[in-house]
Amino acid sequence: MTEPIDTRIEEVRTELLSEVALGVGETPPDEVGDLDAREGISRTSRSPLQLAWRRYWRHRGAAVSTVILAIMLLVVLATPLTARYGVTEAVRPSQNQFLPPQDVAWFGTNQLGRDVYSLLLVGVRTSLFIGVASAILSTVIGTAVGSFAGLRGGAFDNVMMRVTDLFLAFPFLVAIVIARQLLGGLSFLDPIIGERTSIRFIIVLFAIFGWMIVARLVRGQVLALKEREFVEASRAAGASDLRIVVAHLLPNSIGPVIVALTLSVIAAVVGESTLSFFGFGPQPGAGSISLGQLVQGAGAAARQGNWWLVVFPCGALVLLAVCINFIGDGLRDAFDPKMDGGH
Amino acid sequence: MIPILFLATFILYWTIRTGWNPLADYLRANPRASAEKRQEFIDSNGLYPGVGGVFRGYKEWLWNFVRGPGHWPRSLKGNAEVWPLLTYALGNTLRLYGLSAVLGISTGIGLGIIASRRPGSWLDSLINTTAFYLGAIPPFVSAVFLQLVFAVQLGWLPPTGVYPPGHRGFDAAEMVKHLILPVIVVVIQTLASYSRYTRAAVLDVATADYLRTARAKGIPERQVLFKHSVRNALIPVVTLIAIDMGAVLGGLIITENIFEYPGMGVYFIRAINDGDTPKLLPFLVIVVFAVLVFNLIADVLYAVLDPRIRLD
Repeated sequence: MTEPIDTRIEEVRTELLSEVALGVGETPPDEVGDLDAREGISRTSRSPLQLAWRRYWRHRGAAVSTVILAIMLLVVLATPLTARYGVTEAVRPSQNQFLPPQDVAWFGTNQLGRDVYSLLLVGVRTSLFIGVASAILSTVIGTAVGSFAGLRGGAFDNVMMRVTDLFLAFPFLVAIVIARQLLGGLSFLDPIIGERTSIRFIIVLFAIFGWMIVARLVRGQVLALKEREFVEASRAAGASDLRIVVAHLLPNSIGPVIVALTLSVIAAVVGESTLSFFGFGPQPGAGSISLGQLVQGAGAAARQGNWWLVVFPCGALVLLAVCINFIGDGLRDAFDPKMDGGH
Repeated sequence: MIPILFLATFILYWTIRTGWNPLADYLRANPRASAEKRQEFIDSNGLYPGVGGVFRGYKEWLWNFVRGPGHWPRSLKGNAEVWPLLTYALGNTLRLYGLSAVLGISTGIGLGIIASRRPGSWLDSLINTTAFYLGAIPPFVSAVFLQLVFAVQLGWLPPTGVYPPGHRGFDAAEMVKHLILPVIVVVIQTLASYSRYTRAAVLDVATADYLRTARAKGIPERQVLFKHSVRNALIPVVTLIAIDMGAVLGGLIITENIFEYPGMGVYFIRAINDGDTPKLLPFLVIVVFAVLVFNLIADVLYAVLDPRIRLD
């Protein structure tokens, strides 16, 4: 299963599990005080954020992953300095195709004689951009829809949850390929989201499917929080719905939202690669390339035995996936100590 | 359920009509089609112009669809009947899915139970970490790697297909040999997620009062584990199997295409690439129907297994 599917299922699962185990609703966020005492940490008071920060760095996988990801980000963002060749530049004037890894090309060359190492840097940069942009977009949409549905309830809430359920159960790849075809066929959308092969298009496509996970999550949080005293007090004082959401509900459910944001970055990166693998991915213009395009050749390269065309692009993808998953895991533990599966 | 089916099929029909240009795709696949053939294609697919044409086309398509496979429009490429292609692909996919689901889910649940016995022990962290890493690997990466190592480099297993090229008739041994790699890819995915969720579910009920009561009554630990703890913990996991069906099909699409295994995934990607809308639409209807049915099954299963939940 693809990573996006996996994360979507994870949402369904956590919800089911939490409903069964804890009755209904999410874990209340004010466990930090108890934990402080239980772990024998000093009595000096720390803000919940400081505590979360400490717990985050104590998660070994997350800490290591953060460092690795930071290094990768630095190298990738500094491509003008770190890349050795341009995207369309050959490593040698002639006889440069399918060179195994060597001095002139650390990660070997592809069928066009281009340096895989340099391509990889540009590719990871493009893919991370796609991932971060679509994750932010879907989180913003999902938060808005989820808090509205949770707060108001009623018919809108019902319809939204039914639609979300169906989409989460629908095969991701089928849905996204069909939606891609549909959006590309609606000509009046062209000026806004561009061609099927543009990066803008793919970001919008992933956002369309990504917001539902966040919406469901935020809705759950809002439902659990909205009957609490501080919200009631605020309402009694005459606060508007918008103010209640922005000032009270969102700050109190920020943890799960950030976790979902992190995981949807990698979901989009893997999704882009998967789409590209089947030839449905974006084609960034001249001078650029995406990780998906590099991975696309891996299948054919594997059958020809050009292992470096498989190992390096796929390795980069897996490294990204593992790092970001660890970071998401660490964030989850940091924000919600109860979720730390029984350690 | 019925209104949802109507709505879903209409959305699918409209999507297909808007996203593709069936006539252009038909002419691309059959460049020398005569005017009569072209008109026949338009008629059989209900490609009427305008917004009203979409509704009229939908009505005719739905009627023909319900009347049975003999009345479905023929495929764009090769002018073949769609039903035999679809059932052939479905059969292959069910064989692959059935095998890997049984293997993956049972080992996943088993490993999850083992891990949950001693939370924090080396065995628990070994299972947990392995599941974590396996779950982070995108399926097409594991598929390409397995193909590269075991089929191309070592040559132990065949890289693609159900049978070697040119093979005729049924041969169980060959079939199993060709199934091994695709099954492993799907098993890796299901095993990773199911072991983690089983572990979490068992740990969730680990502190329940009824377990303490059971132990206090002197029921042997093995019986407490399987009759009280696991049985309750598996309720959400079992319903997930039903919900998962659709998502697993998505994973199968990737695996099948890499191993060129002639199932629903290959059928789907090929239909998309050919713009073969007469093949695509029945496929999508079947998928939507399956998703709806399995969601229903999950709801019912949940209520049957957990008496606290009632269906209104």
